[in-house]
Amino acid sequence: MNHLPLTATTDPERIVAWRDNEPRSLSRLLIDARAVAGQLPDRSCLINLCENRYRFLVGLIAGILKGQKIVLPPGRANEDLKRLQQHCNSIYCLTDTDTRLGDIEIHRYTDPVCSDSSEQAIPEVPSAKPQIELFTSGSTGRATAHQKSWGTLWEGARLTGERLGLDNLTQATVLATVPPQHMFGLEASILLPLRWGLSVSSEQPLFAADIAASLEKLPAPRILVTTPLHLRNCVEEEIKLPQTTFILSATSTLSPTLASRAERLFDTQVLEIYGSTETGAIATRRPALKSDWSLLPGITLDQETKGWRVAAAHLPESVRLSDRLKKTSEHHFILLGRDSDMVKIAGKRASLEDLNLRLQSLDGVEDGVFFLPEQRSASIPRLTAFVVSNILDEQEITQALREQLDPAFLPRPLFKVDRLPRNATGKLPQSALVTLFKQCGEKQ
Amino acid sequence: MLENEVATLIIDTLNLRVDPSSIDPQAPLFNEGLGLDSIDALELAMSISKKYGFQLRSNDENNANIFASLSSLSRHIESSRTT
Repeated sequence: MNHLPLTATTDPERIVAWRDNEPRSLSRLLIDARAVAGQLPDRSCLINLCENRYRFLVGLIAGILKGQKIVLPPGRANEDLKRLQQHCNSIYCLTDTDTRLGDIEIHRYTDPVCSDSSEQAIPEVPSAKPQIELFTSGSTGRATAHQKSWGTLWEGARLTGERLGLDNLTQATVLATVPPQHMFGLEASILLPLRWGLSVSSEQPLFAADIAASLEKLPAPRILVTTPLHLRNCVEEEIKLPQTTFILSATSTLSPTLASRAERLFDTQVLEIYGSTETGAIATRRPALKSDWSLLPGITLDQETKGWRVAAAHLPESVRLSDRLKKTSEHHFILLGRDSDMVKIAGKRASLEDLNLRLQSLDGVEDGVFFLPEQRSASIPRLTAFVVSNILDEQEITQALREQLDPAFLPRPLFKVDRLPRNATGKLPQSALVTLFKQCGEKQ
Repeated sequence: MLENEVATLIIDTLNLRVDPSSIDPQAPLFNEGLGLDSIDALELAMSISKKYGFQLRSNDENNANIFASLSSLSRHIESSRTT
C-alpha cells in the first residue's frame, strides 16, 4: 500500500504549533502524539472532540499511529452522538473538556510530560485507507458518513495551498476561529499546516477582541481562518488587527461589501473557499474584487439533469452539489442558491425534511414545520418553526428539540399555532408559510 | 434592574420569544439552559457593545464565568460598561 508523510516538515526543530504562547517543535509534537497514542484504549474509532487545537492535532496523530479511524461528529446533540454509536460499536471519545456524552466511553486527554524520544522518524500514513470520517445529515433522517483517505486530504491541501500561494508562506502561522471538527476547519487549520509546513495556534478565539489578542501573540506572517460572522463582528467593532497576510473565510457566503470593508480596515486580502464535506475545497475567490468562483486546478464541474457534479483525480467518486450555480467559463462559476430542501446554518447543513420529521416525531407534537425566513440584512440566517400541540408549550417543545438537534438548528423563535396552513393535498406551500410567519411576527 | 434589562436584550437580539422573567438568572445561558450557541454569543456581543460601550472578551481567564448565567453576564456588564 502506498504511503504519504504525515507532514511536509522534515526539520525536527521546526515550530509547528503555538500553544499558550509557547512554540512547539515538530519533534515535540511527535513525542506528545506517541505518548498519547500509548494511553489510548484499544478501540477501532476515536471521536476527537479536543477543543484546544494543539491537543486536537496530537489526538489526530495519536489515533492515526494507533490505527484508529478518527471520527468527527456532525453535531454535539445527544441524538447525533447516539447515531455514531450505532454506526461503530468500538468507539470512544477523546476530549479535553468535561463534556458528558450519554453513555459513550470517554478518554480524557492528559498532557504528556515531555520526554526524550529516540524515535524521530516522520510517520507515514497509508494513502488510500479511510482515515477520517465526517458526517452530513441527509433527507432520510440518518447522518451520512464520508470517509476521507490521507491521499484525498493531502492532495486537496496541495491544490488549495498552491492557489493561496502557501509555497511562499511556509513560515506562516494559522489562527482559526472555527473548530477543526468540520471539513473547512479540518482542511484550513490542520491539513494546510501539515501539508505546507505552517504552524498553527492552539487557540480558537470567538469575539473580535479575542481574535485581535490571539493574532497579536503570533509571529508574522499570520493567516486568519474564519467565517463571515466573525469577520462582521471584527468589522463592526472596528477592531485593530495586527498585520495579517490574508484572511480565509468559508461556511457561508461572504458579502462583497463586508469583504471590501475588511480588506480596507485590516489592510489585507480576504479570500473565500467554496466546498463541501463530500468534496473538500473546490474553488476560491476574492469577493472584494470578483464574484466569480475560480475552480481549483484539476477540478471539473459537469451539469446533469438535477444539478452539478464535481469530479477530481483525488476524490474517490464524483459528488453532486446541493447548490445551484451557473458556469461563467470553463473554470469559473457563480453561485445562485441552494436546493430548496437544504439549509445551511453556521456552516452546518441540514435537510428541512429531516428536521421536520424529527419535530413531528416528538411526543406531544401533533404537527410542525421548520421555516427559513428571508435573511435579515447582514445577519446569520436562523430557522423558525411552527408547531401544533395541545399539551406542550413553546419552551417544552424547544427543550425536546434540544435533545435531537444541534443548537444551530433550534428555531429562533418557535411559534405555537392552532394548525398549519396545509393545502388540500396536505402540502405546505412556501407562500403560506411566509404569510404565517408575518402573522406570527405581528402578534408578538 | 440590570438583570431584567440584559434578559430583554438577549431575547430581542436572539429572537427567543420567551418571557424575560422566565429566564432563571442562575441557569446556564448556553447548551442545557437557553440552548444558545457561539453564533448567539457573537450576536449578543455586538448588541452589548452597542448598548454598553465595551467589547466582550472570551479568552480571559474568567471566560466561562461570564456566560455561565444571566446573573454572571449582568455582573460582568455592570463592571465593564462605559455607558
